[in-house]
Amino acid sequence: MSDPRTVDREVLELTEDLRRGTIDPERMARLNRLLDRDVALRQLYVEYNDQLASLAPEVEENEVIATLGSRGQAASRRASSRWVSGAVAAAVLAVVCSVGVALRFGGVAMSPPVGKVAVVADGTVWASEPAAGGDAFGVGAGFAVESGFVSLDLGRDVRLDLVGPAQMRVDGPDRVWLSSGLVAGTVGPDGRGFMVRTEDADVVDLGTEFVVHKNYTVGTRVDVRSGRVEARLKDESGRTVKIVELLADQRGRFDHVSVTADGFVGGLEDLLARYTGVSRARGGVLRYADGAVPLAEPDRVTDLRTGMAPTAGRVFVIPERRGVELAEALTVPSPDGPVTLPAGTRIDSYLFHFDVGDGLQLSHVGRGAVTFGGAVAAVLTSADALAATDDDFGLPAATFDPVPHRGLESETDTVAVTADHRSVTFDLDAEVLRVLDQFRVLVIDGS
Amino acid sequence: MTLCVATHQEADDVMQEVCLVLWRKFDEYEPGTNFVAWGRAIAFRVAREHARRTRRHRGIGLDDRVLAKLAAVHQGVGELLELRQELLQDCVAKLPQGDRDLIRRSYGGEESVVEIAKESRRPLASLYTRLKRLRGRLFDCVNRGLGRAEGRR
Repeated sequence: MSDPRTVDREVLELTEDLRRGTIDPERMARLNRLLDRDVALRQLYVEYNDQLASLAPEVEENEVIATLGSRGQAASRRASSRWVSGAVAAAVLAVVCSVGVALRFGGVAMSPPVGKVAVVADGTVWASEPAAGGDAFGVGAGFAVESGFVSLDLGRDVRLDLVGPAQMRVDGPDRVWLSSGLVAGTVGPDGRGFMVRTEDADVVDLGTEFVVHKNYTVGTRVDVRSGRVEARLKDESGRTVKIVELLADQRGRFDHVSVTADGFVGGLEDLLARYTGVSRARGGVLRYADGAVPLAEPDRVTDLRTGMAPTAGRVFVIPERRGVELAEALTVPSPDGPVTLPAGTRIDSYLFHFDVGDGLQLSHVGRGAVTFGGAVAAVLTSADALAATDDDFGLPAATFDPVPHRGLESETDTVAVTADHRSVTFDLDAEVLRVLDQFRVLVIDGS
Repeated sequence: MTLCVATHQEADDVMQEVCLVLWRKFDEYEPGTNFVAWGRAIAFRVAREHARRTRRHRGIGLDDRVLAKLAAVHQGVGELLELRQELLQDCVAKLPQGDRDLIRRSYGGEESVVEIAKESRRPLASLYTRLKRLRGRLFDCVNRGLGRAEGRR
């Protein structure tokens, strides 16, 4: 019979190997057998694992559930009603989960700000504490999104779009940690060297636009839209074992478990579809301000008739068509007089949609501003101008309201284009009997 | 949960998932019943699913039957684990300053062992070995504090 101490040591060795990912199938089978047959060894394994977890500062399940339990039970004892105890437990669950998440994925500024939340798409569902456009965040802040997307501006010309479901933590002004999900990065010249890290690879931007997708079953996938990135494959210990440079339109897959880096991978359709969705939602818009918001899934909003897509006091900015090439010159009305766009011009169109729904208030105000990547060529504000351009520039699947009040009312609504022709500001006032305001902005593609 | 995951990063991710599932399933919680047991059961199921995925992906992991047995043990030794954690703090405090620093840096979450090795110009393998020995010494120290002498059971 084996000396119990020898077997104990063996279990501890095997446990170490399992946690480091260096265990082989034969030794794994041995560990399973030992733990299966001997309760004392199982206790040894539990105690040793608990110690390893205790050495690290992360919030562990024990802590969360225990806190949940103690508060929930105490609340239950105090509460005489089953409903109340359930409600209290739910509240405790919310608090504990948000605290547990906040420690690693806080969504709050924990140190001097290194960036701001630029956009939270309408319809975004948070898994961590919600953030709003304009919120500052510091190192240690985290963002967990169940669905929708969030755009973050980090200093030095770095824009990140986090697409749910995804979890990301800001580890510094020049780096983030992506636990899972998809992040799309746009990095200007000042942001070179910005890094998106996952457990599989460190993706170093060299001035570009790229997408990183971390998934447990396939590892980390990197898709370079333009420019150049350097991806550093890591092994289980976090050591860099291979460096791969990816250029525009190149893709790579990295896996720290098998320690492999593939230069080309198929099956990226799902990733690209998700990215395309966000790209569409973002459109050619550089910045939203105040009450102007993009939609998380613009393609789902197809019925744009009065009362069908209420905007709850904000103004939805719906990217419609991109790169529509004019076959012939087009003259459109605009607040500053008729505008003629020459044949061959490529146009991106955006519908601004403000619908107060069934509100009982006397009036509703929507104010905001949007900055585009191209020059604003025309702003169409009348119901006639909108109807005349729906076929060419509207979403093909959209249903529009052929009512006169669809356009803006000159006495109560104002829209202005800034002197540089890059931004549109608006101040809309919808009355109860005129519950819908829309206008269309035509932007010269690539200008 | 730590029974089913290998790394702290995985633990983070599973913890996130646990919170989401607890949210989604909260309607199923029956007020007045044991909230802790309910939460733990869900956490264990989430972690077990994670372990299954990892097992499928890597071809390596603990069997479901073993995980269930480990969960039963874990449930029964909650107070002992709390006591062990208190003793662990004392044991860490008794380590020489250099070892304490190494533990703090390695488990502090801000530096990887690779980075520490680079900075201290020590071979990576020797650092791993050092850390492994320290973990063993701490485990022995806690066991002695429990009156288990040299034995670990």
